[in-house]
Amino acid sequence: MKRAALLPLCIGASLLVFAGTAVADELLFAYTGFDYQNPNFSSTYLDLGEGYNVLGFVTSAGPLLTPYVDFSTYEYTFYLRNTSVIARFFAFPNLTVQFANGARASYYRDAFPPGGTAATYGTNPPNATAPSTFIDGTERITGHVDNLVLVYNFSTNQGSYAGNMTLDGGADLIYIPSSQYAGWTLGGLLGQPNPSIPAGYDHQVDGQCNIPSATPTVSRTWGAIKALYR
Amino acid sequence: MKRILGVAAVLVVLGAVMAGPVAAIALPPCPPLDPCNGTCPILAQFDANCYAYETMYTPATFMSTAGSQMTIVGLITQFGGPLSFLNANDPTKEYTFILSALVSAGTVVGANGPTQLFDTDYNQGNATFAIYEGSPRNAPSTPAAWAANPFGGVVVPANFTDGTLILSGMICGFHTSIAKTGTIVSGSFRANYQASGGTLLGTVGTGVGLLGGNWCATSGCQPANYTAQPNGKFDASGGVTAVPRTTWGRVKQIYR
Repeated sequence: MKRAALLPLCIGASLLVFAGTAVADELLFAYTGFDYQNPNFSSTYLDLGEGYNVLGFVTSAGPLLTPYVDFSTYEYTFYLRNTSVIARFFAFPNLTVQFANGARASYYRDAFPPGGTAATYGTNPPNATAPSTFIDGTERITGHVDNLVLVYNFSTNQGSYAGNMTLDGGADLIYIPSSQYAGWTLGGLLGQPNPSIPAGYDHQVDGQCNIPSATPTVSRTWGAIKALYR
Repeated sequence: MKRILGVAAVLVVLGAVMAGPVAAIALPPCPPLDPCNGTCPILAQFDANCYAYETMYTPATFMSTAGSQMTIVGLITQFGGPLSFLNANDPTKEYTFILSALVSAGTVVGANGPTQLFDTDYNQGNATFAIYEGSPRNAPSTPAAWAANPFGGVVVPANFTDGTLILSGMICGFHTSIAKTGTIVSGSFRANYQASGGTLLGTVGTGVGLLGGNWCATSGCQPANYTAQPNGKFDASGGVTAVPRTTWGRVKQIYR
């Protein structure tokens, strides 16, 4: 009796699943837009204490969000803010800027078309439409950004930024497993000459938010597990 | 006499050997960007499903060897400007692109404060771009599919160059810039492009436009066998007036 009862238990336990090796990060969403300084109280670009902001449109969503986004019905926008320069290194043509921890990055959904408001860059932000028309929908994903660093080369007129972004809010956070909250955000900057940049903005930005991929599992037999502890 | 000729021959050979690596080719400056009427809109956007492959590149150090040949392939996610009538989300079609003959001049390493800088010009060849409209969808579009299809196999780049060639042309001054500050790595790419071929050349025009965006070369951004993940766009160009598409009914309305 005991042997018969044990047999299905052993069979049931003969194939166990364990976490395997982590794979590459996955896209959460991608965006494109423009950046500007605010507050901006100095003629020096990103002087100590000044703020850096990015406004833009979400251009695609990664696998976790794709089932819940509809670009034909909604307008999705992006906003990076609450940054403050705490360190600055400049030796022409290279600039490196480090920001205080606790910046914020979010993507929003607005019912445009048919309702809502069209996000409009305008000129010389902040202005009557920026950032207001980019953040007047519902906040779908938000997170705090730490270790944000921006670099720029004034000879090649291009630069980039990256920081650790930990998701902590938004209506769509429920679709992201908590094990994948610790991601990062990064962007490429293209400066003048650049005929796409509205007046008062500094650079064209192409960026994305990535999160760790789900840790895959591997199958092991019970015998292999026991062998680990012999 | 023979001994003198032989010595001369040896000296010629030694001179060639001792000359060192071939210097980078000096190229004329790229044609300037053409302004638009207002700001230039997006022409074609690409995001996650875009990867670069390079023949002589060390991912761990971000170093590209002079002469290394890079190819970039990807899926278009959005059209705009004069191509706004195209639907990148049409499930019966697939819009792909390829950037070819991007030959490296070698990575130049620099530093600024706490940041290491890795700058590379890919301007030693006649770089070109081509955008295709194909059907059915057959290019990799998931991380697993990319990982299973390294560059040079049956799928990549072949499935990015099938279908109708809708736009093609040259690329000038392709430059990548990677920065590493502690563990934070970021990057960008930038180039000018000018269309000269394809079924939609008349719609887009032959002005000089900007191509660029984010360049992610850190581990975690690309599958094995690929060297970077670009995320960016072709911006529409000003210059030559493109021919907009319209219907015969709208044309007749103008004259009523």
